[in-house]
Amino acid sequence: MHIPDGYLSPETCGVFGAGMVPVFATAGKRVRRVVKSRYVPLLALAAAFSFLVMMLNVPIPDGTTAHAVGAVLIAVILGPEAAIIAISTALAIQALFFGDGGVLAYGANTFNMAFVMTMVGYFLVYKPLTRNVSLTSPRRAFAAALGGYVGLCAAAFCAAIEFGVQPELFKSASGAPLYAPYHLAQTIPAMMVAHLTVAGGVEFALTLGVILYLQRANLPVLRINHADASESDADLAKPPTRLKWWYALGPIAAIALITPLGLIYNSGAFGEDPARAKPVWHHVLFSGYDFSHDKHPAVGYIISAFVGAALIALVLFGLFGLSRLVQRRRPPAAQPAGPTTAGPTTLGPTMLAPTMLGPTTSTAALTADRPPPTTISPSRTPDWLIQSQVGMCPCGCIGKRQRGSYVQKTLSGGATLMRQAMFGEDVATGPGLLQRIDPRVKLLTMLSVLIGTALVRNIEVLLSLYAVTLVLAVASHLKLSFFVKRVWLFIPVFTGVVVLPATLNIVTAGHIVVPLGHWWFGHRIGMTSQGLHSAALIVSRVAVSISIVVLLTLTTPWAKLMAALRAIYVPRMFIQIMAMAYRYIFYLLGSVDDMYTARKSRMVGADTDVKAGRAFVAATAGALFGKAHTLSEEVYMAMVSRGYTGNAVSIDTFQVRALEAVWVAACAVTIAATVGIDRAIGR
Amino acid sequence: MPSDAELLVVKDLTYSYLGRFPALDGVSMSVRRGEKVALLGANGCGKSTLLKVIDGLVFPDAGNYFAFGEEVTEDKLEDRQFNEGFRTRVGFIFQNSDAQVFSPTVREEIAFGPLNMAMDRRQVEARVADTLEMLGIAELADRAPYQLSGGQKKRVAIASVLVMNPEVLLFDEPTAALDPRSQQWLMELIVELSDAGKTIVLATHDLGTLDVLADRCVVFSERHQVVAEGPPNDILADRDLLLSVNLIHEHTHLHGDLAHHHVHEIGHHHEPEPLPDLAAERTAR
Ligand SMILES: Nc1ncnc2c1ncn2[C@@H]1O[C@H](COP(=O)(O)OP(=O)(O)O)[C@@H](O)[C@H]1O
Ligand SMILES: [Mg+2]
Repeated sequence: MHIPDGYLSPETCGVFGAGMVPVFATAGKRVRRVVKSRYVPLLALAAAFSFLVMMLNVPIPDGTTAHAVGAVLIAVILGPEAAIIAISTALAIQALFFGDGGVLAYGANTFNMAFVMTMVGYFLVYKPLTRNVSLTSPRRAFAAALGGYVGLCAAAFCAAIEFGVQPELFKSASGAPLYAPYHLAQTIPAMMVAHLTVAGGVEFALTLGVILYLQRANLPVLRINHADASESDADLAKPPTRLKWWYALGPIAAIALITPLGLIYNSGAFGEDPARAKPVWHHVLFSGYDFSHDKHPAVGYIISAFVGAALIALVLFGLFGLSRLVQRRRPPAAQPAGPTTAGPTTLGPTMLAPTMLGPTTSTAALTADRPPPTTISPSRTPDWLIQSQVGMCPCGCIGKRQRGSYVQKTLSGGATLMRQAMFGEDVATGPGLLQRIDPRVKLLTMLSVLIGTALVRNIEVLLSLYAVTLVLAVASHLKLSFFVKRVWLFIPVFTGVVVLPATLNIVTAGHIVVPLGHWWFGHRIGMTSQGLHSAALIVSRVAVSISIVVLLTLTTPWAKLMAALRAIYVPRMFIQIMAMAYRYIFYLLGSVDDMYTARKSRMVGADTDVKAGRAFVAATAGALFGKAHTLSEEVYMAMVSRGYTGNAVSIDTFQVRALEAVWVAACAVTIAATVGIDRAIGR
Repeated sequence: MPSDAELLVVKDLTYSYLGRFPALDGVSMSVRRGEKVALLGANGCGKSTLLKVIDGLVFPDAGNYFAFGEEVTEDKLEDRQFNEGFRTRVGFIFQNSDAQVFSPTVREEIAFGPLNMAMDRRQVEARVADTLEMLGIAELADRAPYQLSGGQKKRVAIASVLVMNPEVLLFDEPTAALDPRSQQWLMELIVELSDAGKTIVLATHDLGTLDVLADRCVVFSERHQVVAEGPPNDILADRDLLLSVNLIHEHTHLHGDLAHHHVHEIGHHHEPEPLPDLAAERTAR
């Protein structure tokens, strides 16, 4: 769901950026008041957690990517304000350091994933459903999961609208779209189907898994945001079966609401040519089908929506079934009271009990940490509980690596990220032009150049800008091949895949220059010159934007970047959370990788990609969260032990010299020249 | 009231996690100035928890804790001055270095404590440099902690505590998960710090290093109680005691290599560099 720079017009970015400022201010103020300094590490952890969750994504043609976010989960645990801050932190790290999601589009991205998702999921779904529900009730967990689901879909819907309106609002004189090329009729179904099924399912399972885990193993964590919720088991006595229909109906109702919306756009509400408004996506969904409703595209749309709904219902019923199964196998809740019984022995099984997802998945991931039962020693400390021993993989158990799984890909992507980050730090401290420039100045100038880039409407100008970034890379002693690869391997290539369909005449009307045959419902199909042009425009703009961000991050050590943010008045707390979250990310990545490897080595037979991914996320999330929470407590203690009382302090100091002055002037000239020339060329 | 020589005194401490999982049950003990005390016990007996109480990180459900002649409570630690005084005087090296090193760079990690103490920047930088030098990690200063090996992380963790020049150093399983060379180095460092006048409290279940690292042992049972106290040699000689608290099992041979695992190696090493004038600085303040 991350919108990269280049998809949205600078005007759109500006509106959302400005709109989010008061949201951040309010949330920040409330967090400082409500969440004590004690929970700062937990907040950072939540951000890292969300970062990892968002890494598990699948690209969607016509849209961006589909993934879970975890906003409602965090809102339930730490409060909605904290969730907004945590998700925004994760997005900031992604935008600044990993080039995932734009820097200019940060406002839009945080609006969707942090603000809308939290507000809708927490206040519209979770809160009303849990008014008189005890803290340990499964109903609360399901309400949170449903909140996550609905919130995610709402966020995806907003994203779809944001880039869906781009071709209507911003086009060149010849009618070619300047930014994202897809219309609402394509973006909404594309985003919604992916999120209503895959990503929504992951979000639901993830939220459910973690909340059930916390209810069972670490109630005090849930108390943070639910100080006065009753813990009574009155609700526990009620079988969750009663709720089945209720919850399954929710998403179906949501779809029912959204379906006609798509139809409205289909019927030309934005003055579209009906011929190109035909949804592209159902072809993807039903690739084996032969749909010949060329007169009734709406029928295909509705059928698809219902298939989606049925899928969700199935997933939901499956989850309910499994959760009941787990319920039955749950060990008795009574804890031995006196110190006479060995406490630790009882702690083990309680914490390790599979949280929700049936025997095969959850136990596999969890047993990775469980020492084999020994008959010799009757009581064993669950050491994994108190010392997160992951990080370095102690066992050499590397299972057969199955290619093609998106979880797998994401994880090896994670390893690559880690390596990149380490390598990056070395380059960042090396000699070179950009390395020498004051990080504050660099940050501000790069931001200005980024805005300038967003304003450009000619490919030629964008290409010259790209050449400038290459020159800068060389001047900063970056290996050119590395720099180019780093930029192009990331989003632009994916953007290429995503925008490719936009070159076809069914999306962008115009003269067909590359005919592809006649099979599209009897229509002629091919790439149009306008389509190719706008695709090239968007790809080159994204490439330049990412090059600028990569230049910034590759030549600035992470710590300096943080200090620079501080210098431009980004609130201290936010930076502190970001710095800690960044550190947790690497730690958690190691954990996830271990768990995944351990699970993989136990799995026999192939699993489908999506199913395996979802099961893995749900099974791991609870355990991971528990582990991570223990770590965050420990980090907090380590900070307090060294005198931390809630104020972040940094050792960095800056100075501005002649070099900076020259640099600022050069940037100003470049921006003025680019925009000036661009406007002079026109188009 | 505890006597002057007794720096740290705990009385009848009881603590349980989440109100359900007992960790300490009526624990009393004390630590004298300049002493090396080992908390000895099997996994899960409550050593780490006791260290956290001593460092003022968790507060007992019942019982009292006195440090430097004053009772330490949650309320008192809210007081800025008391907090600052206490935190500079007691340093804690956690078992899990990953938890302890959380800053973006090693240099910032080490500067974290002094900066929190509102120390002058220039002074902080000088101290950080000294500490980096002393622990032989100067070349790691600008690296990120997650790039480091386990042994290096441990050094950074120790540096981040030593930079504040505390009087009392708490080590939780200091040699766990370190390779033999790092273990050796750390043991020498602890002895050296003790010689420089620091008071050392360490948690361990490693009997082999006891007689080097401890003047006195406090033995915990698996029921989270103190069952014995005495010099390492007496404790090591009491096979029944060690069996009962699960520190050895039937087949362990205490004679031979276990008891003096590392003893003879200590003297053979080159004379370690003297500590920077941390101790002098402390008295001057
Ligand atoms: N965060 C925690 N939550 C619940 N129980 C804990 C936690 N930390 C420790 N315990 C329990 O408290 C007891 C004492 O733990 P600890 O002080 O870490 O022992 P040791 O350091 O001697 O191995 C153990 O039984 C352990 O299971
Ligand atoms: Mg311990």
